[in-house]
Formats: sequence, structure tokens, C-alpha cells
Amino acid sequence: MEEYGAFLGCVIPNRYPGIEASIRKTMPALGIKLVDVPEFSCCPAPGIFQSFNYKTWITLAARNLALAQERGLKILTFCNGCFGSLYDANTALKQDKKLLAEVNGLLSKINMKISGNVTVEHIGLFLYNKIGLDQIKASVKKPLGLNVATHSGCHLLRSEPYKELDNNEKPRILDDLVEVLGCKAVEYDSKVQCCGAGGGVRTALAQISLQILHEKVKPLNSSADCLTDLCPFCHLQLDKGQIELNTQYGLDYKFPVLYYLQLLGLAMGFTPLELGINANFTPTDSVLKKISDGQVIIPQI
Amino acid sequence: MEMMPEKPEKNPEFSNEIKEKGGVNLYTCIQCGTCSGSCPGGKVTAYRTRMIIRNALVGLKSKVLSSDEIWLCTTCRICTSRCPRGIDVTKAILTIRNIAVDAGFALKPHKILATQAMTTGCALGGNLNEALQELRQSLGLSRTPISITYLSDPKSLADYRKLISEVGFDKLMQI
Repeated sequence: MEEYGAFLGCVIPNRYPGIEASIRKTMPALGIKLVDVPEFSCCPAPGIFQSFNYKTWITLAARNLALAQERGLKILTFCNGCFGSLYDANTALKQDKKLLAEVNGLLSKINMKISGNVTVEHIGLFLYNKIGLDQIKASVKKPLGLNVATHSGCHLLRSEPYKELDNNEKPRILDDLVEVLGCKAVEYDSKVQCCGAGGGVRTALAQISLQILHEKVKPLNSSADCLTDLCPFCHLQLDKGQIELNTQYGLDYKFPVLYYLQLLGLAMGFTPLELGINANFTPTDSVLKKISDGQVIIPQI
Repeated sequence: MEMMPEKPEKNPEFSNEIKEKGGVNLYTCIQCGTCSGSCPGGKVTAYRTRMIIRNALVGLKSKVLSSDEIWLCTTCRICTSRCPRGIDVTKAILTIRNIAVDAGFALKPHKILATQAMTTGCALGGNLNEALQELRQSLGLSRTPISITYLSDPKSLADYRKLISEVGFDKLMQI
């Protein structure tokens, strides 16, 4: 089994344990062994740290990279924010020797060192490029038959070093990942639009963040059974944000949102309870009903 | 004598400062407005990316730094990916934010979150409530996360805080 340092970030373990369960169930099923590194800190959260102070952001990211380097581990991230911080910091340090020397000067105060050569993977690209659609398809025990709207998230679509990897105006990677699960990826007008959470907007300007979310979810209609994403911060905004829109603006959104590995887990034959799907904020009964061929599963916590 | 309107501030060095600190050259901007037209924040507010870049170019430094608008960017990078002049507009906004924070213009909720991250090692730091611990346990996970929630390992937390103080981030946040 190939080993990867699991970088779960802040949102998954603290707000969406169901996503963590889906990671710990699906990864070994694909032959990936995850190693936990208790010394990892926050990536650090790019919205705040990059906005406030570039040097602080890159130095704290470098400490996480150095921890992986010491252990000879590649890093696997499950969040666009963690990926953005760690991948971009690693790339900047690799390209800029002066910056690398400056950051190593700071790391030397805690007896650490970095060379800028750590491999940082994003779960979506990792599944698509390293595991491959064929192996994912082979792991499917139960094709889901759902119509799915995909949200890749900005820091995957438009992360600088990966810019050429997917067409950022018409992305296909997540659509292809969804379709090997026996689903159909459906188009919608706001497919590449931001969810509204990033850049510290959800933290400091919640109302505006929700208005951006409203523009995002408005075009979704009954042609899709659910929405899927690859980033827990987008997931928090898309999932919990709908409930916030309902309570604060008198709206009635109840569009199910599942993290991609939760969909994959269902297709692999894990139960909704094992994948914590009931712990999402938006109701998921309609999706679960459809995949169980009419048999209603009502999960209880 | 008639009152003269206040002369607008001119700080032509501001664009150079953005270039030096963030590596973004704004001088090639043709003010086409593709950035504003693409912006998800601009769709629901009066935020106009093109205007921020224009004000930076003409040197209205304190106006730009003190405006709330620079905090409306979600860093989605769609302006950067669509800019016909290849300007990293998002990086320019982030650099302007860095300069604004140095000048004391940080929003309070951001400072609270940064303080939490500085103290605990995680942006969502602190102990998890009982319900979430229960949920984790019911999913077969450890009751508290293995890493990142908060650095429970004293050496890691000390190292992390040492780096923050070496960079001077604690002073910047006035802790």
C-alpha cells in the first residue's frame, strides 16, 4: 500500500466528521494507506493568513512541509484551502531560492529545514491522475444512478500551478469522477462560480457571503438530485449556508450536498450511516431514497 | 475666499510598492473591466475590482487601504484567469490587504480568527463540543481529532508560536 501523510485540515475533523469517516473508509479501499501526523498545524488558513501577512503564511505552511519531509511522506490534502496553502507555498519555495533561504532561517529557530521538494496532492486530482478512473470504476459495487451537479471549487480550478490541468471555464475532472460512479454530471449556469466563503468573506462579512451563495445555488434545479464538492470549506458554505439563507432570508433551500468521497463511499457499498451523510445540514433523504431503489433509509444519529 | 475642495492625495509610489511586495505589475492594466464583470462579490455589492486597481494606479493609497471594499474579494481568482493583460489581480488585492494590515486596517472578525489560530495552532481551534465528539465516536473516529484541531503536543505548539513571534505576526495582531 502506498503511504500518504493525511492532511485533514480544520473543517473536516471539527465540523464534518462524516467527511473524515468517508476518507478513512474509501482511501484504504483504493489501496492508499493514510498516516496521521499529530504535529501538523493549521495549513494555515489561506483566506486570513495570506491576506494578513504573506511571510507568516509561507513560514507556517513551511513548518508543515518540513514535518512531511522529515518523515519522507507525501502529503494528501482533502481541502482546496489546505491544497492552496501547502502546494503554493511548496512551489514558491522551490522557485525562489532567496525566499527559501529566508524561510529556512526562521525554521532553523525550531531546528527544522525544508528543501521545497515535498509532493502535495489534492484528492480530486490524485483520484483522477494517480488512481485513475478505471480503478475507481472497478471499486464501484453499486452504481448510484444519480444526476449530480459538480462544484470543483475555485482553489482547485484556478490554483496557479494547476491552471492548465482542467479547463477552468468548463471543468470536467469532477464530472468524470462522478460519472464513473454510475451518475450523470448535469450542467448548471453557476458551475464555476465561487461559493462565497473564501478570502475571509464568510468570516467577516457573512451577509455578503450568503448573497454570493444565493447566486450560486439559485440556478440549481430539479434536473440534479444533489450537488457534490471536493472542498470542505465550500461544503460548509453550500450545505450549512443553505440553512442560513433559509433562516435569515425566508428562503426554502434544501438541495442535498455530498462531499465526493461520501458519494464514492456509497457507490463502494458503505452505508449512509458509516459515511456520516446524516450529519450534513441539508436533508439527504431524497438522494438516499433514489439510490436504494425506492426503499427509504432514514438514518438516525 | 471660496472654500477649495480638498486636494486628492497622490502617492505615485503605491503601484511600485505593490510591485515590490507582491510581484504584480499593475501598469499594463487597460481598465477594460473584465475583472469587475467576472467578480462574484461585485455581482451582489458595489465592489468594483477595476476601480481598486485604478485608484491604486493613480496613487490614492490611503483611500484604497482604508476602504472596506478590499475585504470583499473571496480570492476566487476568476479575474486573474480572465484578465486579458495577464495581471494576477487577486495577488494584487492580497498584497494591498497585507499593506492595509501593516497600516492597521484589519477587520475585527479576521483578527479574532487569527488570534485563535495563533493560540491553538488551528483556525477552528479549541475543544470540540460534546455533540461533535459524540458524532465522531459514533462514526468510529477518535473523540477528538488526531491533529490540527489544536496542537495538543506541547513541543509542536511551542515551535509554532516561536515561528509566529519570529515573523512578528503576534505584534502585528497586537497580542
